[in-house]
Formats: sequence, structure tokens, C-alpha cells
Amino acid sequence: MMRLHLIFALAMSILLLAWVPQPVFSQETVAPVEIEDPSPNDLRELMRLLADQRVQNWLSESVEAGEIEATEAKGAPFRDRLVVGLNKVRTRMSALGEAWVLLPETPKMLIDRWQEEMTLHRKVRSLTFLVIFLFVGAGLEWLYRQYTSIPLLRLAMLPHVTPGKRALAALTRAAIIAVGLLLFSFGSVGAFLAFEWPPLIETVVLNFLAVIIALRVVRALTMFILAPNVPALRLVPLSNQKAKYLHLMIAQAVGVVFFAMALSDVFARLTMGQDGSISPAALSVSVAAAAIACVVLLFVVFRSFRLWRRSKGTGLQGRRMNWQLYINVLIVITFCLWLIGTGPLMESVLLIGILFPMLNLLRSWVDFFFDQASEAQLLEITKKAAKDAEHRAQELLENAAEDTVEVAQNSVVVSELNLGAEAVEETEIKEDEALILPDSYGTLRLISQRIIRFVVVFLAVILLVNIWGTSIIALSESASIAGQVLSVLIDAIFVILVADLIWAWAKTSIDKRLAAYEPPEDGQAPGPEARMATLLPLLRVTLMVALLIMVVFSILSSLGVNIGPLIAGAGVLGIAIGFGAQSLVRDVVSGVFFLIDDAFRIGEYIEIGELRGTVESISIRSLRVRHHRGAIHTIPFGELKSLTNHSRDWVIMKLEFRVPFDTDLQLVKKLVKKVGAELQANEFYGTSILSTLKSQGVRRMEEFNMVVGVKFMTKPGEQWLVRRDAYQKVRDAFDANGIRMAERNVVVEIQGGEELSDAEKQGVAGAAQSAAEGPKLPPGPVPDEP
Amino acid sequence: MNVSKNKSSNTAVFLRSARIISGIFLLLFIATHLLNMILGLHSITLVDGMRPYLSGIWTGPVGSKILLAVLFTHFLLALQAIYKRETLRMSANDMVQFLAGLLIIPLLIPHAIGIGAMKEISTEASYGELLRFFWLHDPIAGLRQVLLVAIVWVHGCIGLLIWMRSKMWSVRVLPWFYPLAVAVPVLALLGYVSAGRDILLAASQAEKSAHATEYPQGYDETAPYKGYSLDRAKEHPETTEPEVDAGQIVAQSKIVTSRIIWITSAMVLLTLLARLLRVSRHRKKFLEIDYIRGPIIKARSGPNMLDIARHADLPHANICHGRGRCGTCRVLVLSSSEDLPAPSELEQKTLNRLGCGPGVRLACQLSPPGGIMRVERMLPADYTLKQDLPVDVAEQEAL
Repeated sequence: MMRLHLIFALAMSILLLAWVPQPVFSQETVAPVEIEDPSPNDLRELMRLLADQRVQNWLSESVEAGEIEATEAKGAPFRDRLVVGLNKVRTRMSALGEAWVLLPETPKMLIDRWQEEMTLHRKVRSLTFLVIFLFVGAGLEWLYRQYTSIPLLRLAMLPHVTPGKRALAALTRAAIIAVGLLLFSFGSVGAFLAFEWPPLIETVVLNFLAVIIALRVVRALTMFILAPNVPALRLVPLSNQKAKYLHLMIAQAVGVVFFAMALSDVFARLTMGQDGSISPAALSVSVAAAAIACVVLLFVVFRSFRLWRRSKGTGLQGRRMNWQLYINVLIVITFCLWLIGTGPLMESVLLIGILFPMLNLLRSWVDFFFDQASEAQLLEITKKAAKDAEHRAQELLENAAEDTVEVAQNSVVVSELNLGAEAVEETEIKEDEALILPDSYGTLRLISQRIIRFVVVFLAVILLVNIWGTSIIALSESASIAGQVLSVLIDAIFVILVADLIWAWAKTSIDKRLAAYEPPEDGQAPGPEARMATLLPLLRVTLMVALLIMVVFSILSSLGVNIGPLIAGAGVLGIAIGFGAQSLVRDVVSGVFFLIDDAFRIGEYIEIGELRGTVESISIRSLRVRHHRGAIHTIPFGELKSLTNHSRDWVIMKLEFRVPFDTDLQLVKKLVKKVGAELQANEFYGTSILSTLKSQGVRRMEEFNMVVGVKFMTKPGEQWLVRRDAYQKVRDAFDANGIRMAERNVVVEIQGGEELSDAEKQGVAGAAQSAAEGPKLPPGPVPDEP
Repeated sequence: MNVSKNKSSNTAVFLRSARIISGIFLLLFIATHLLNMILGLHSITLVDGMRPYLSGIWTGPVGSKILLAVLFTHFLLALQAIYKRETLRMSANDMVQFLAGLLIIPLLIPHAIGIGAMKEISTEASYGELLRFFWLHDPIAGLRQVLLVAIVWVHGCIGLLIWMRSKMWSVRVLPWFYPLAVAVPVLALLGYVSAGRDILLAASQAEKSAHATEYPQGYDETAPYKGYSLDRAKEHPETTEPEVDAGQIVAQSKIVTSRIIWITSAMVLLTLLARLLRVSRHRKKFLEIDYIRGPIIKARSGPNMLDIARHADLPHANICHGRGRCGTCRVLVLSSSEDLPAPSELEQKTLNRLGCGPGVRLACQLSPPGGIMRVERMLPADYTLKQDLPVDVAEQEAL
């Protein structure tokens, strides 16, 4: 029910959102602002200002600047951009050539420069400072750790079963560690910043502080994912040893890359010319550092994949090899692009190159995460079952041992073995049961995958925009075809991603509900889920159509198609169809509400005006009711005013017995009670009797007899069977105890007629016969009962 | 507490208490020096002014003798502890303490000998002089000093904290002790930096004012002096002192320094070798420990049960880090396929203090000989003394 409302609310809010912008636009265009004419004073002031030479100069300058900006913003022709980029590459290549030529002298040059800037004392002193500041940071973090070590330990010790709990625990742990890291960086960098330094020392110390902090951040991240020491919090399927190894490998790779970056930065600053250009010497150092970093990365990838291959059999080896090749190629291409100095291009290639394995990895990771959670759940169940079985076996064993004290040791052992085997079998059965449990995280799994994909793609796009700076935005705003395509593509991707997210969520939750629905067995009243089986497919189709329309409209509008007329047309069409199919719409809508009201379910016996019968099927528009004699009534929902349902909760049935006036009513009561107990004890329908047969005493007196009332209450549909047996058993009981059922009889009293002969008596009886039978009535209506 | 008495009867307990007592003594020595250095945040003159009351109290003839004796004792005790170690794969905490302890030797000895030499040359080594030496003349010595302070403090604090944690009173003391343990060295180092900046600034100003003012301490101020790039590291300030045999003393002290470093390093190496020999004599056997409410660990015999659990990443309560002091690592041995060695006196003492029954052993003292064991950890891994505190507080209130 809640889910349904939620879907409704969501759909409504999306519709609202889709509609909102239009009124805003109209307001902007319509709202008229009253502008007064300028006063003479204002005009004079303006003329004076315009006559001023300085103001004139400023105006002309700013106009020129504006023009330049405008041309820049419009974007130079693509060819010019290409030329600029190629020129950059060319200068970079020539710089590289120069660096290559100067390579033999580079170390000496750098050493000279280094010696000049940094004497031994200065180096040692900066190292001293580095040590001290690291100590300060480490001290702060250590202090923090002292207070958080016990919570961390507890987190590692607790069993984390559900994915939510596991993720929460891992996140809490990561947060605790991150705060420590923050304190460390705060302590070290803060202490450093508290003093003033000469620029070079500042660069060196700060660079290496940054390397250490960045390295620790990466380590904290890998620790969050790999949890080298705590298998319970590990988010990836690796053994302790492998997680430790990978943790180390990643730290090494990242450390080398960061160190290389810091080193080339220091040298670049050391030998930087006045115009901010990088000297060939520094360039060669940074190229060498980058090459070393590249080689180390390749090595780490190689080692990691080897570890990976070893960890599992030969299952997916081919695919994994491909990934290894892919990553290697990516590293090399990135290095080459960096080498020729195409910064944004290199970063984009790297980003997009990482994106795909990342998406793949994240998807399988989410899968693993939920698999693990399901497994843990399973384990819990089986463990409990095993414990129960063991417990029971133990008990049985104890009993057996008590019983057979004299029996030799061997037999006890045998019995123990047997019991053990029994227990094991039992456990296995339970395991089988558990194995066929449905995946309880299906919806969550799908949704998490979509959300993670969405977030990652979103982040990647934002990063890309960041890398290209304003140029990408300018391009998408420019009138060129490429810009148009780009902006449409971005819009379309986002719309489709969002729609996909909503659709995945709605579909999985609807499907899950539908899958949980089991059609009722014959003769059983269906549960409340039955109506959902009717409503949910309808909802699913509606939602799909709505989402599709919205996606198409959004993409159309981003393409520049004016969707106003389309929407208006759809509105007009909707109205036309609405008028034409008024009763159809009424049927559908009132059907939805009848279903939400839970007025009837499939299999129930209902009564609508003159019509009665069992609900056989419910469609969108109408209801199909089968009369107990076979006729089928089809009733549109719109026709339903009120409806009587005979199949809800309970039914009371009243029976009457006519007995002569001289009947012992106490005996009747006793007999009825006995029959009631018998009925209750019946193995077929006993459980459906809610309140068994009991006597209500004399209901009324008639001319020849008394009417004794009895009643019982059963579940709907069971009353007929019970009534049949009740009649039969009561009659038998009365018969056995000498209680006759009353018959119409006429006592003829004749004054002084004691000496009538048999023939005369016969004559009198014959005369009274017609009086006893009463007037002949036409036969009454046959009661309608199935 | 009560273990430190009764010395003659129990050597292990005695050695343990001797180690902690000498350690605390040395830590106090360092603490006074650091407290003195904190004043450098204000000014160097204040540092020197307070010196007689803080670090000066150790410098008497008797004081320095006692100090040396204690230092040597602590060193020997540490060697003994290394020798006794079953495995060198230890927890991060122990590893840091072990390595720091090893590093102290080469860092400390030059400083100690240097101070001794200085004392012989001049009457008293003042902080002003020393700081100038560290920052201007020999930054390498300065770096060494910083490293020494950091490492000694870390080593000492780990030892002290491990000892304190096993004591009941520490539950209330420790939360106050932690900030102190960080603040003292951090502030001292910052005081050192601050004083160093003053000195460097003064030096550059002196250079700027073109040798107009004389430096009172009498080092060669006419030397070429470019900004921070003073490059006369090899010279010791002592050499410029007007003492006749200063150079001789310096040379002698250098020889003594290197000799002591060699000797101590050799001792450490010999100890490690002896330990290796001792450990390799054990025949390693297969060992399987089945923990109730825990995994089954397969290992090789040799290390104690606490180390085995640690290598297998099994959480195990151990407040005193395997010193056999706190008894929180105690396990109940349910069954063992081989006979376990009888508890040592040290172990028995702790077990008696805790009132443990038969079958209870300290995981940190029990090295199983092999076979299959079934044990139960008696305390949860996140056990802290705080959980016992309410009783303790009640006792206090009753008193």
C-alpha cells in the first residue's frame, strides 16, 4: 500500500516538475514593468558624463574588450583551435628534443643548481622540519587513536550480516580512520604553516608533506575496501594474505607516482625561468620520473593480475587477460599523451579509460556485496538449524543413554552415530530449504547498481567539464553542429539515466510484489494480494508509458523541437478521447478505487443488486461473476453502486426444528450441545467452525408445535456443509432419544364418543385429514444456495 | 604492584619490574629535558634560566653516574627480553618499540659523549650554545637530536603505557595521560623549532649588518655567511674555544663514540644470533588450535598462543601486550593432545592473583608444544579494565 502511494506521489511530482518551467517563462515575458521617463536632471547628468574624455575612453575600451570576449566566447573556428593545439605539441616536442640533447649535462646542472639553492645545511634543516612536523601530526593522530581503538576493535569483532550493516560498519571504520588522518594532516601542515619559510624550503617540505598525506589517504581508501586484517569488513572477495598484498602493492604504486610528481614539481620550481617556462633539465627529470612511475605501475598491474589469476581457477582467464592488456595500454597511452604535452586530452583519455573498468568493477562489486550478504543470511539460518539439530540429537542421546544404561558401550556409540547422521540429514534438508529462499536483496541490488552507475557517470562528466574548463561549455553553447550534438548528447544521457533509474526501481518493486503473489488454490479464499495482481501490471504499463513520453519529450526539447504544441495536441486529444470514452474512463477509475477499497477479491461470493455469484475474474474495466448455477454476469465497474460480499470473515447460520409441545427442552439443549461438539471435532470442516452449534431455546410457539432455534458460525463458504451434517446429526440424536419431530396432527374430540367403532373412527380421521393438512399453498421459491 | 616485591624468589618477575623501573627513570630524565625545551617557545634565555631546575638536576657527578648505570641496566634487560622472544613477527606496537629501542643506541651515544666532552672543555653546556650548534654549525647533529627525541619518547611511552594499562588505577589516569604524552614532545620540538628560527634569523641579521656586532659566544663571525647557507659543518664549536686540549678531547670523544657504538651493536647482533640459535633448537611441530566461538588456527609450534592468534588476525584481549602482567589474555584449555609445559613462576603468580582455577593459562606465556588443542578465550577481545571499574569505585568509596 505504502509502495503504491509512493509511486503515485513520485509520478505526480515528476509530472509537476515537468510542467513547472513553463509558467515561470510566461511570467517573465508577461510581467510588465512600469518605467518612468527620466527626469531633466538625470538627462543633464548623463550628457555631462558622456562629454567627459575619460568616460569616453573607458567606454570605447570596454566595448572593444566586450567584442574580443564575445569572439572568444563564440569560439574560434575548429581549424584554429586545432592549429593552436598542434603548435603546443610542436613546442613540447622541440623542448623534449632539447632536453634529450642536454641529457648528459642535466645531472650536473641540476646538482649545481641544487647546491646553489640548497646547501647541505638547508637540506638537513628542511628534513629536520619535515621530521618535526610529521611527528606533530603523528602525535595528534596517535592521541586520537587511543580514544578510538576500542570502538574500532568492536567494529571489527561484530558479525555484520546484512549489506546495510556491513556497509555501515565499513563506513564507520573509514570515518574514524579518516578523522585521524585529518588530524594528522592538520597537525603536520598546520604546524608548518604557523611559521614563515623561504620559498624553496616551503616547496620542498610542503610537497613531501602532501605526498605523505595523499599516500595515507589512498591507503585509508584501500583499507576501507580491502580491510587487510578484518575479513568481516572486507568488501572484496579476497583472502587475508591477498588483501594484504594488494594493499601493499597499491600503496607502493601510488607512492611512486606521487613521489615522482612531487620531485618533478620541486625541480621545475628550482630551475624555473623568469617567464615561468620549464627548463630542459627539469623536463628531463620529470620525464624520467614519469617513466619510472609508469614502469612501476605496469609492474604493479602485472603482479596484481598474477595474484588474481592465482586466486581463482582458470575460469575467466581470457577476459581477465584482456583487462590486464587494456590497463597496460591505457597506462602507456596516458604516458605518451602526457609526453607530448596534451594535458586535457591526456586527462580525458585517462578518465574515460578508467570509467569503463570502474563501472564493470563496481557492478561486480555490488553483486558480490549482496551475494555475500545473502550467503551470510543463509549461513545464519543453516547454523541455527544445525544448532537445533545438534541440540535435539544431544537430548535424544541423553535419553537413550538413560534408557539403556546396561547396554554395552558399542551400541551407544552406534546410536550416537545414527543420531548424528540423522541430525546431519536434518540439517541438509534445512539447507535445501534455505537454498531455495528467494534473493531477498533483488530490488536493492538492482537499484544500488543503477545509482552507483549514475553517480559515477555523473562525476565523470563533471570531471570532464572541469578538465576542459570553459571550452566545453562554450562549445555546447556555440551554434556549430558539434556543439549541438554535444549538448543534446549530455541532455539525453542524463534524461535516460534518470528515467532508467526510476524505471528499474519501479519495475523491480512491482515485479517482486507480483512474484510474491500466489494464485489461491481451489476452494480457498484468496488473500488481499489478489487485487494487486490486477492493479500492478496496469500501474507498470502506465508508468512505462509516462516515462517513455517524458524521455522522448525531454530529448525532443533539447534537440530544439518546440514541444509546446505536442503537449497541447496531446491535451486536446486527451480531452476528445475523454469525452468520447467517458463511461470507459469511469469504469476504469472506479475499478481502481474498488480495488483499492478491497471490496471484492477473486473467488469471493458477492451480490450486486439482483446478481449473485463468485467473482471469477477482474479486468481493468469490468468484473466477471459466475452464478452458482453456471451463468456468468459481466458487470462494468462504473455500474457498481453498492456491493454485498458474502465471503468475508464469518457467516452465521440459523436452523429451526419443530418439536411437539411435550418435548423435554433440557434434553434438546443437551443433545444439540453434543452434536455441536461432534461437528467441531470433524476432521474436514471442524477448523472452519468459528462457533459451534448451540441451542437458542424455543424461538416461537406455533399452533401444533414449538420451534427450537439453533445457530452456528463458520468461515464463509463452509456453512452449507456444516448445515447438512448438523441437520442429519440432530435428527439422528433426536430419534435416538425419543424426540419426534412435530407433525401436523388433529385431535378430534367427540362428546361421548368413547364407544365409537373402528369404522367410525376411521371416518372421523378421514374427515379431519383435510383440516390437518391445511390449505394447499402454491410452492414457495426455491432458496438460492450454491 | 605486588609483583615488584618478592624479588629474590622470582627472577622473571624481578627482571620485568627492573626493566620498567629503569625505563621510568630514563623517561623522567628525558621528560625534564623536554619540559625545559618547551620554554624555547618563549625565548632561549628562559630555557637556560630554568635549566638548573629541570634538566640540570641530572648533571651532578653522582646523578650522571646513576644515570649511566640505569641506562646500561635497561640496555642489558632489553637484550635479555629480545633473547627470550619466541618470534620476531610482532604486533605493530611491539615492532615500533623494538625498532625504536635499536635505533636509540647510535642516536644517543654521540650526544651523550658530546655532552661529556663539552663538559670537560667548558664548565657547563648551555642550551643557547647547544642550539646554535645544532641549527647553525651541524644541522645533521640537530636532525639526529630531533630523531632521538622522537624515537626515545615513542619507545618510552609505549613501554610506560603498556605497563600502566595493566593497572587498575590507570583507568582514571590514562585519559589524562594520553594528551600529556603527546603534548610534551610536540611542544618541546616546536620550542626547538622556534628557538632555531630565532637563531637563524639572528645569524642572517648578523650577516646583513656586515660583521658590525660581535657574537658573544665567540665563534668565527668573520666567516663568509650567505643567508642560510652557512657551510662549515665539520667544525665543532668547541674547537673555537680557547682551551688548549679542546681538539684533542673532541677527537678522543669521537673515537670513544664509534667504539661504544660498535660494541653495543655487536652485543645486539650477538643477542639476536643467540636467540636464533635458541629458537632453531626447538623442533617445530604442527599445531592446531580450535577456539570456541572462533576459528580453527593451524600454525607451527614455537611462538606463544597470543602471537599465534595475532598472526592469524584473531582478535584477542591483551592489555599488557604479552608481558604476563594483566592476565587479560587468559584462556581456558579444554583439551590438548600433548602435555603442556607447566606455568612459569611469573605466569603462576598472575594466575594466582586473578584467582584462576586449573586449566586456565596465559596465552602470552604458554607456548604449546604442538598437537591439537581446544581452548576458549576467557575475555572478549575488546575487554578493557574499565569494565571492572564500578567494583573498584565502590571499594574506593567504602574506604
